[in-house]
Amino acid sequence: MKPFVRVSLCQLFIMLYISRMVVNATYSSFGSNTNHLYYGFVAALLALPATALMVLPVYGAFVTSNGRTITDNGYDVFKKYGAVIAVVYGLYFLWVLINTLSRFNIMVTKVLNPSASVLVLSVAVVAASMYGAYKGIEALGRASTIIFVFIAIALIILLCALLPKADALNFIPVSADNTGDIIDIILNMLAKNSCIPAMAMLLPFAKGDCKKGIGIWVAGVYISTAIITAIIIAVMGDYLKTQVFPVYAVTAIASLGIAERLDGLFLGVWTAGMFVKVSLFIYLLSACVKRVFGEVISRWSILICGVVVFVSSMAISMTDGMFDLLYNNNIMLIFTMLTAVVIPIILIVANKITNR
Amino acid sequence: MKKFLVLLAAVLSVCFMQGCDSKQLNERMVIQGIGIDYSDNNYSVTVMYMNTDATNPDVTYKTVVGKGKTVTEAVATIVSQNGMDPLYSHNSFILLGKGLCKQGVEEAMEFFAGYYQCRPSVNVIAADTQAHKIMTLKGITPHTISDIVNSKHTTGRTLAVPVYEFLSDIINDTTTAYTGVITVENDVPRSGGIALFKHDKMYKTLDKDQSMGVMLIRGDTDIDAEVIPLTGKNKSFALSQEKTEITVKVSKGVLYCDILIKGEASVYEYTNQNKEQEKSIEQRLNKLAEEAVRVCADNSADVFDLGKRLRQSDYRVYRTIDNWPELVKNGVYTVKSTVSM
Repeated sequence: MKPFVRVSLCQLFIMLYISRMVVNATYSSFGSNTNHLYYGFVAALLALPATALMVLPVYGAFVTSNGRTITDNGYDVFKKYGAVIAVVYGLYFLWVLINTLSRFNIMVTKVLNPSASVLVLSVAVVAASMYGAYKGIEALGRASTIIFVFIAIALIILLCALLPKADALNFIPVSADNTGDIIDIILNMLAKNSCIPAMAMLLPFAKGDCKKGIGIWVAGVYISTAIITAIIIAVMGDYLKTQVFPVYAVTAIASLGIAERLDGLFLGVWTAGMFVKVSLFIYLLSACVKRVFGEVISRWSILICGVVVFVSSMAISMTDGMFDLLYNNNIMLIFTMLTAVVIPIILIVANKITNR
Repeated sequence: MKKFLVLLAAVLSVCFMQGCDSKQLNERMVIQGIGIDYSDNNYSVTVMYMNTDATNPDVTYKTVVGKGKTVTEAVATIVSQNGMDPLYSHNSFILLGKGLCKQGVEEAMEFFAGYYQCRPSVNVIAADTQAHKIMTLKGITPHTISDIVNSKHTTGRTLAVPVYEFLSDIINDTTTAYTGVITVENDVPRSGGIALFKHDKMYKTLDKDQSMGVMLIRGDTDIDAEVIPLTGKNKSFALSQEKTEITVKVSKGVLYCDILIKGEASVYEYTNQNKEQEKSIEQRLNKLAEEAVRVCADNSADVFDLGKRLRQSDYRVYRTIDNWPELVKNGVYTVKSTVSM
């Protein structure tokens, strides 16, 4: 049975684009080697085809299951053991949410205003996101479209403001010796592809040609990333080695005529983007919870998920050991590959056998 | 019910989210300019801030000084003196005192790179004396200094570098950090050439002609009035649309650098000798540029991004270089200018 609630293909991929760009743009490079940004431009262009390949299993599972969500497909194939798949996806979405929120907490602490209460701000973000998730995928799709317009305008203003300050001499040529660095960045980018497991849950909600949407999404995400990375390098040069959040720093440099100090504008737009991402992933997490526990919990699933996400992200932000674990790229990559590639491939094979 | 909840949210927002519990303007120290000096292992920070005290409206700006082992501690001392909450976002310049420039500026600049309120686009300038002395001159306002800095694009004689470019040059392996110098003549602040930094320590100050040459080669500036001799008289020309092409290569361990300066020149005084004017202006530009190249090369200063240019044109050779300053010092430089009237 296909889901009753539907969104247009455009709305779905705008939601996923915002979710991905929020991570890329606002919180990039935290805890990683900022030298890596120098090769980010090339890495983004190489990660584009790699991500296109990475989406294929999810799309394959969607097609071979006749348009079922990945959790439904798991139950169809493995009966009651399909709960394992729902639990794995649920845990993955929880991990992504904790990661996003704790990064946001750190960014607020470091960049916004250290005297502001992170606790209150996190409560506000989670509460707003829970409301967004409660309103459902259609409402989120519509909100995303509006926010996307603002993000697009902000990006255009950013580019216009920064291009005159760009200096092509700041680029470092890529040589064979940098191959290791570039591979590291590509793996980092692939690990952040949490939108692909999200697609496994969301494609059945979309009306239209998913292939086209996936293609535009992959190209849009990585071309935007390549452009943003290039402009950061060209403007900031070696100064970016001193910055924890280079994207924020570059917006503080941007000025357009009499309009200076544009960082507040970008911060507002990106926080709106984060609302979309957190709402969407709370929605996905609650969908997994509902699938495992059934209607008994369905009314309260969003509330429970919101509380779990908030408590976990606050606890992890305060715990050093857990913090390192959360930002471990290898763990994130394994988890993303498991949900984006391995499980969908298993389901494709199982679907083929069942259909036969 | 829905309407009631929306109304309730609106009322709560009006009551609790209007920001009335935040600082009032007269409780804030709206910083307009910062000067930093260093002596006896202590930083001395001079802050010029907007006077928001309604009881004394004739005074536009106030100046306050704080001392500490770090810039952060010195700023904290200022806050403890006047109890005002500092606001850095309106700061228009950072003036580095001579003592600090000699000692090394990176530690002091870390505060401006890392503190969330500080803007990386604020201009950095060096003082040829104590920053405090310049900032407490009679009648001086923050605008006096920022106006000198902002004349960069019109006079061809003043240079100001924003924090992010200055720190980028300090961190880079090959570039020499540089910025404009403010000097004092008859108790009036003036632009006084360019300071060169070896890593983060000032080691050479270029005079006005040498500075103009540096800015010409960097393609940083236009010139509003420079004098040339023509048929036994002095004529002044303006140069606009200035652009530079620099090619760099290393061959047999020697750096070769070709510099071509292009621009559009105008002579406002009446004359009908266009060809001679062109030639005379080109000779003047060549002389300025050659002098700047000579003094920079003698001091192993790479203010023309030669290292970065080589990195792009020949990365393989660039990676083999282990003594860049020596290569710059012994480099072979050619300068050529072409102007159109």
